[in-house]
Amino acid sequence: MPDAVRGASQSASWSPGVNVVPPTGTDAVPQSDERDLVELAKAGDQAALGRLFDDHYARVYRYIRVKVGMEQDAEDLAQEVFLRMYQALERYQHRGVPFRAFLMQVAANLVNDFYRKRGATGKTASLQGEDIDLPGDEDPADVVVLQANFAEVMEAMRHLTELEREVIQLRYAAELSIAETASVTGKNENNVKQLTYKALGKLRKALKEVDAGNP
Amino acid sequence: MLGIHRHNREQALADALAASLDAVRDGAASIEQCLAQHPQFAAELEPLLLIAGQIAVAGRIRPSETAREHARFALLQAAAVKNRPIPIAPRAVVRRRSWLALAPAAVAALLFAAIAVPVLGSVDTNAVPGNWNYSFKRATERVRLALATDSTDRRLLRLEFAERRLNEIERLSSQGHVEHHASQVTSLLKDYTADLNQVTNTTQAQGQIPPAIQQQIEALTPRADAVIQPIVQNAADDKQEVKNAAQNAAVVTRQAQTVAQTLPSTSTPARAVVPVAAQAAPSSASAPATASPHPSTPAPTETVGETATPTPATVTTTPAPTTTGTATPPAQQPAATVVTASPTPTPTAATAQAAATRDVAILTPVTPTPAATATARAATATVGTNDSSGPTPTAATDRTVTASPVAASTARPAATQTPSTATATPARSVSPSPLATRPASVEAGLVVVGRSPDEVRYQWTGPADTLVNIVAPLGTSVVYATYQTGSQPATIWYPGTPSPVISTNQLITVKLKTLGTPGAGLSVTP
Repeated sequence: MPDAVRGASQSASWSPGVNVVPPTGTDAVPQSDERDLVELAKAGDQAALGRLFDDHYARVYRYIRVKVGMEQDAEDLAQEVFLRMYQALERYQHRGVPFRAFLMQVAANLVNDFYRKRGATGKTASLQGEDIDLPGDEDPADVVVLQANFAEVMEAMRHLTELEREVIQLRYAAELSIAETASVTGKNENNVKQLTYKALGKLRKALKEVDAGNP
Repeated sequence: MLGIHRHNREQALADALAASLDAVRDGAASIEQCLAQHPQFAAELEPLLLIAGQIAVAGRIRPSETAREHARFALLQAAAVKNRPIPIAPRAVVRRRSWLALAPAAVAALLFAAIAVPVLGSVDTNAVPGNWNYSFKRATERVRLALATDSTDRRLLRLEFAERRLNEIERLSSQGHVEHHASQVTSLLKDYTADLNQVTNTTQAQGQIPPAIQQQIEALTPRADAVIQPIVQNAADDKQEVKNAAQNAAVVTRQAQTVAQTLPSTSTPARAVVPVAAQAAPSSASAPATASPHPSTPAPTETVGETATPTPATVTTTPAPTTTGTATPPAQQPAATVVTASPTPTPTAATAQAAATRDVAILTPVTPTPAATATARAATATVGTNDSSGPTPTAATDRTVTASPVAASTARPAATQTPSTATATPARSVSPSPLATRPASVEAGLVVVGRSPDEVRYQWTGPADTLVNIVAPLGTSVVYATYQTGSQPATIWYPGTPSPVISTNQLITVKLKTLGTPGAGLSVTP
């Protein structure tokens, strides 16, 4: 990574030009409301179903996009996730498993199917400027830095184990909480914290090697 | 001891990292503040938080609006198909001995042997209306339909008969201009529409489509376009009835095509993107897919566990193209929607002048004639049935029209969100389906209030509890329509379901898509 680009990410915030960026859509719907929506959707209420879709589509799409890379594949799979979700909705009981965790389980299985059928491995997500949700006043130069840094860290994710990669994708693309990530991966919360710590450590090491010209 | 200490430290560091990540992500603290809160780990935390910042861009990836809209439509359509009404008159209601159940078919067979067989040899399938043997041809069709007990066989027969009607129209056309045979062509178009509509409704109700039917519909579609479109385009202005019949036939053709393309095949359940209906529709309980839910879909309480180990799955993940995939917003102005409002108590016939003065694309309604009403009732009566209502439209009408309010009230699940529900207007529920009804009348209360490239918005200022028929002419197709009052949640209407009942001042938004050549067949003048 060029020093100038790297330098841009060394600020005290996560995104150059943007200080703290609250996650979009996270906790947009309180759990109790969401449970009501799910029950209404199960009963055939189309408005409730539409609301569930609206609340979670972007999250599902992002999660799949970073897993499969290609935009078209991600769009098709995200659509399929919601159709399968609807199939399984009647069997869904809350029982401590948040709806979004349930949804990500559907997505994870679908992506596994996708890879098994294609016999392919995950590709690095490539982003265009228009793929990134930007505040209106964001400097285009910062966007370039964002994209470069993101591409680099996505490339470095091949150094992670499958489980570590899954945890990172669930935490940052799907924006799940630690508890939700634990639910999807079948691990406990301490496991998830440890996996996150190890994954970030590995990514740091890999990026340092890239900087040193020894990828 | 050292190992335990190291383990504890790692866990503490992981905890501090997790807390810091959440705090930064939620905007509760800056990186500096997090480091200050955990000074003993600051040196290790800082680079990890910066790396996390690079990854956090993933949370800003934005899906395209088009893809979102397609996915949303696919989901809601799947739900709409699933929630279709159960058959109005299920066979199980009347319990008869099995041999008694076959009695009508046996009688028909005897009649067939005694009367029809001797003349079968003389029945020419090329006969057209006006030929001496045409009535035999149609009688033979009815007998064949009566003898077919399997739903798939009956639908295949109807498709065969629909194609025959097209052939007959073509032959009549070759014998002279369509205008010379306008009444006969109109009648054939209506028969074609009724047969195809029956196939579409039955298939939709079952939620799955047998491959043979799928293939036959796909073969029929281009043939129908070749026969029907010239009629729509070339029919003289004073032959509005034949033009309307052709428009309805074209719409029903598109409906059938959509069903063939979107419903899961009974032989390949994984093909579908709308497989939900097959699993949940009550009438599809015997369908194979019902017994084999997708194994790759997790149970709500199960955990993925080791995601590195793929779970066995039999479901293809190929995202099949759906109707949503073709729902590209049309490039041209969607000036072609026919939205007719018919206050059912006393339909008011508006004048052509009224149509000309409003900015409504096509409002070419006609006053319902007895014949049209009969056709419409027959079509309504068959919505949601399992095609067991009998071979002749008149029989279906007589038997089931009283059940229509039930069908209408159960066929629109979202209607409960609307002030004007079907249950509030049971008498009006005996209504023609949008596809079976010729545009009826121009209503003064229907006003266009907005347009965009792929939708038209209308405001209804007429009386409450009004049925609205929404029909798109050639060149466009209605994807769905919404109607709502003020800020209340919108209710969605899909083509093929009973007409929406609207109230005064409700806003109707009709979503359109272009079929084939944009603008082809539009007979609209703004």
